[in-house]
Amino acid sequence: MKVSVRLVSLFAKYDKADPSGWTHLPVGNTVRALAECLELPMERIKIMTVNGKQADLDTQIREGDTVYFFPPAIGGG
Amino acid sequence: MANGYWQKTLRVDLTARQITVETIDESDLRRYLGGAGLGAEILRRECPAKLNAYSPENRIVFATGAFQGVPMPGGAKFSIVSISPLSGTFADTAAGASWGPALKEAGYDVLIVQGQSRTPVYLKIVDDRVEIKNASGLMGKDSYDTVDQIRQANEDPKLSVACIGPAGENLVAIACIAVDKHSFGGRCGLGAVMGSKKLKAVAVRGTQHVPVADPNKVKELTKAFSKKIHDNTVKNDFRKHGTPGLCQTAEGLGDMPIKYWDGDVLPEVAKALGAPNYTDVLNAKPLPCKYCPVGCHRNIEVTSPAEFVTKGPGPEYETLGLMGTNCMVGDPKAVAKANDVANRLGVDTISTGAMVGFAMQCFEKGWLTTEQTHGLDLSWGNGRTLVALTEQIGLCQGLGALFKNGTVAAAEQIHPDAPATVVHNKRVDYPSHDPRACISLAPTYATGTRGACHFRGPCEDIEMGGFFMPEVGIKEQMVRFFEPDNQSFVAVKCQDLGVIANSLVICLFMIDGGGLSLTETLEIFNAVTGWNFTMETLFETGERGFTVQRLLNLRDGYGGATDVLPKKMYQSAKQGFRASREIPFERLMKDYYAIRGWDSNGVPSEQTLKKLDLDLAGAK
Repeated sequence: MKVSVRLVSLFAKYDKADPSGWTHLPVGNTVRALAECLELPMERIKIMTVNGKQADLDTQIREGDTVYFFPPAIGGG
Repeated sequence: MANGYWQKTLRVDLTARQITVETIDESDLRRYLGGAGLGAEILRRECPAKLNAYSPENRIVFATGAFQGVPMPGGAKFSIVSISPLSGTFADTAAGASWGPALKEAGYDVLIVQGQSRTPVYLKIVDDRVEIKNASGLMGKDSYDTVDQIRQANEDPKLSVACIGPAGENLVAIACIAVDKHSFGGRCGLGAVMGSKKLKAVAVRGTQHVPVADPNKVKELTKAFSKKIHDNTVKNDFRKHGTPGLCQTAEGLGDMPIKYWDGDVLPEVAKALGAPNYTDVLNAKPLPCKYCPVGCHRNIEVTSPAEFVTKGPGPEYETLGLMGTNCMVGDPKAVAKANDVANRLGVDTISTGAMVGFAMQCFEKGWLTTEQTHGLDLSWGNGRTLVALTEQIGLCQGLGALFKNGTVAAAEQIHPDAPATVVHNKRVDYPSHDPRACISLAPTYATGTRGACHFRGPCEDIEMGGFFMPEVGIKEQMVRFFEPDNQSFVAVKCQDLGVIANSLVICLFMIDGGGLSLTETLEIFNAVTGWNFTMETLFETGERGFTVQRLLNLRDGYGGATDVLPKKMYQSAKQGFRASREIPFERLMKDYYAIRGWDSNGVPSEQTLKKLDLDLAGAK
């Protein structure tokens, strides 16, 4: 399955998109599977969205979905 | 004597040139802890309602708490409390560096300055030697030169100096108080209160250590907590990147101000301003306050281009929001330069950025012409204009003079339709978090006792997954974006936490970011004071402090009718994470008043006051 993943700020280094911008998820169909595939630090994933809607690690994803992972907001001052 | 406190207030009357030392009742410390809570109670007792901030009767209260007497991580902070020239009511602002511990080491918990000097003065406090000194030679000096000159003149490089720049002297209503060329008590214009008293600076050093209840435990805990916070902030990159690490998350969730609150998304600008780009482009390094294992402030250096060359404290997230995305300026060097100009001249970078963005909006609408702007090109994104207008605001010159009394007052002069577009509460400009993204901010801002403030209630970081407070029922996943359930509860608890933190006094980043738990905070508080507070008692002091601040707001003419959102907060986004979303404001406020125990006019009920052992007595 290929999905569009947006990793901002300090998560950017985990990007595994191919040259056309798709990220390939060989196994699984959840946000958790995608996060594991990207080797994101699981304890730091607090906010994620699928197609613009707030999601959680168990949210199911489908081919072509857009998934955002945000580092937690600290230092709001 | 209570442990952790000297129970001493140093009072300086600049009219009578009189210096006295008074005893603080232990009961006041138990009820308010110190800092912003105690400062509010002092204003309630000593200042009449609707007092002009520039009246000699106004007090400016510099207040520490139990944490300034020990090497507590985050304990360099102190609170400054006064009637604000911007809002005309209670305001507190906090700063760090090392001034708070210095006042404590000099043997005082609180400094109250009242009256008005005929000539410019500064205070020098070294233990029990307190002097009112001539500051004529310091007038017009910026906030960095002032620190250097006071240290040189006194041959005392260890003096910690809280001072004002030209903006405070000129009574610019957003003037800040700058500390040691490092940290800034920015919000609400309390630097102008110092200016009105002709008080250029307060320089402090001390040699005394306040006794604590359990010295061994305090030593053990401060060491352990310092290590924990250090390790946590290395792990989560807060130490490496500071608050700029937040930019892209905030922008991605629709939480950053864009185009003076009319824009929805601006990812490229947020990426340019945020970490890691900020850290690379500005050569940023941590700049810690005393005892701080984090160093969230940034020490930066820009060597080119010549117009943006700067060295020293760099912009923080809030400044990147208001001076950056808000003005659509995506060059971190331009924002860094404007930040430096604001710091030196002594104006709040948040309100300054708000003013520049507002001016750009007025220019676009044709409400300000090039003739009125004295030739400044106020096009969105113009970094040179950002720097130039910041300087004019700080010096109260050119177009900047129009903003002397705040954004609302400027709007009233610019165009009949302009005031309705100002984004503020109690005339205090919104900070860099959008209640349309994190809706718990809506009641937080609407009822903010010092006006709109995200950091007297850091609820947005709870919505965005940054920290939680299980000890008081704030758990992960208990609020979800745009859904009203539990949001007002989070708002109330965070506001009370804000008062507690600014009364202890502790930097909130030890908790929000550093991972220090409330339980650990309470544990060390009890080790310092020996008071055996429970979490419930601690939060009751927060609620009491907040309520006293609210009572000050009420007597100064604010209340239910001003617990509102500005018009722009009813504009829905057309794109991005908060597209088509609206703030369920009525529901949030209904919940908020119910949780607070306030009536439909926003007045605390008799039962609420009784629970907090408060009454309206003391309000003149």
